[in-house]
Amino acid sequence: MTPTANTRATYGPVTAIGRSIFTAAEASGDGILLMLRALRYLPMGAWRRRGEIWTQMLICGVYSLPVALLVGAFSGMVIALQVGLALVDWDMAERIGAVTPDAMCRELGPIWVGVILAARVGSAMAAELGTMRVTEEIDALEVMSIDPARFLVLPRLIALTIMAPMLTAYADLVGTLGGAVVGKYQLGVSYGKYFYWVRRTLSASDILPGLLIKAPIYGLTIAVVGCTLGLRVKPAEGAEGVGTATRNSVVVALILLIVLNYFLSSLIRYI
Amino acid sequence: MIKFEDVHKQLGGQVVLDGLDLEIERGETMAIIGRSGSGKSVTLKHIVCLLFPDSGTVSVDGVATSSLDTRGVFELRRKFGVLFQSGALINWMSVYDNVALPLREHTKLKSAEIDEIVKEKLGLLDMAEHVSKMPADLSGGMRKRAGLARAIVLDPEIILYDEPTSGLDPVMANRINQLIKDVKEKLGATEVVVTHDMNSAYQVGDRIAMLYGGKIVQVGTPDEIRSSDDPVVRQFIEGNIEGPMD
Repeated sequence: MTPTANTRATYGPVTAIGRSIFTAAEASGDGILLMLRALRYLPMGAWRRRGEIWTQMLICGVYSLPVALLVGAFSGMVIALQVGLALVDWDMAERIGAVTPDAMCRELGPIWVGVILAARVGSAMAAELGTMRVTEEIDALEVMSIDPARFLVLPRLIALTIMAPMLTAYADLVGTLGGAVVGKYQLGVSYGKYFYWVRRTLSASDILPGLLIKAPIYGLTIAVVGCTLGLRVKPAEGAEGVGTATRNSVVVALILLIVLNYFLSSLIRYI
Repeated sequence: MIKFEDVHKQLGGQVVLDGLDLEIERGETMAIIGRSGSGKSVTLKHIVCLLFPDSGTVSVDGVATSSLDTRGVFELRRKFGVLFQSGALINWMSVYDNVALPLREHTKLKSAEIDEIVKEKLGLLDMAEHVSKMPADLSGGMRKRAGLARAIVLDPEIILYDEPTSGLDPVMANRINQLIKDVKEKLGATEVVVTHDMNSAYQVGDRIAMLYGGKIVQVGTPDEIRSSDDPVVRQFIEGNIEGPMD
């Protein structure tokens, strides 16, 4: 009998937990294997699909830019405001010029861009590939001896791995500028003082790990999660399966980002 | 050429194939008939390695599909053209690009040569004037014809059709049946047609196999099936409500 909502309801809690763990482990394995299978086609596979890579870069990057700028600006503004309010009593409010860009480049820029991409792009990847599974387009590719890992997954992995650092750079920049605006109009810190501290304290070792380590890893992770969960949809699951994959892609990607963020931050300290 | 030996398959805990035995000869058109949900499409998916048997063997040209690695599966699939039930056109590609896709992926032909072949195949199926349309802009019949053009663009040895006439009006259904016969005549391909449309099975099949309860209950020529004494076959071809089928 096909597992249905009714039969699922008869599972005990231990069985349900066991099934969840098994499914998560299976999906993780699928994700890693899919990523390796796609990356195996580098570099020629990427060259042959360069048109699709450009399209995906447009979808992932350019169309996400307005949201990244908005979120980046307000992240920088809120950090400047909260830190500035704490420092103003010590007459050190201008030091927000040291704290804001540092927080943006090290943590907030990469993680917020990751959140935006998981919600906007990773979910769309899961929905698109899931729908292609339901409509037998993936089967059609496979029987044409066209590996979906090369044809569909590789361009998405490359596009997101490249565009995540670019969006992060913009988010870092507008966050820093947002901090300057809050400093001037809410904390009485002049642009001159703010940027004096930016120049004095901000170094390549603050900027580059977020751009060159965290952001690409987040981009790759989001793409792998979106593509894996999309391709795991079974044709018989139909629209419900696509919906579940889309929702799960956001949840799983966000959890992975938060966990990865801690471990990467810990590792980057030693670089 | 294609051989099923005692094939068993369960999907979602449900037994779909239960000891299926069937042999399809080179150059023949085998129509597999059976009720909806009887496992016809599952049978087809075993041939192209989209599914593998839980037990038993499916072999193509003497090679068991279960013994193939990923590379071997992709090599084997180069022999096939498949028309899916819905056409399964890639949604974000035009009709032209869909049909050109196998040529671009598997040959080193120049654009002009690809253009010539694509237009020839689409012309064969009366789709020449729709080359620039997107799949969403096509009717069901046009999608099937475009899907068929893509299936035959590499002149495959074996062509599989999954419910080629379902959802089509009788005129279009007959046209598709005629196309299946024409394609076989022109390419000399082996064909497997999965259908529950008896008119289609009689028209295109050199032999017809009736699938019921996960097994083939009878294989024979259209005339043998028409005059079958098997109660299951009789109930199916006559469409009787009462009979051994649930």
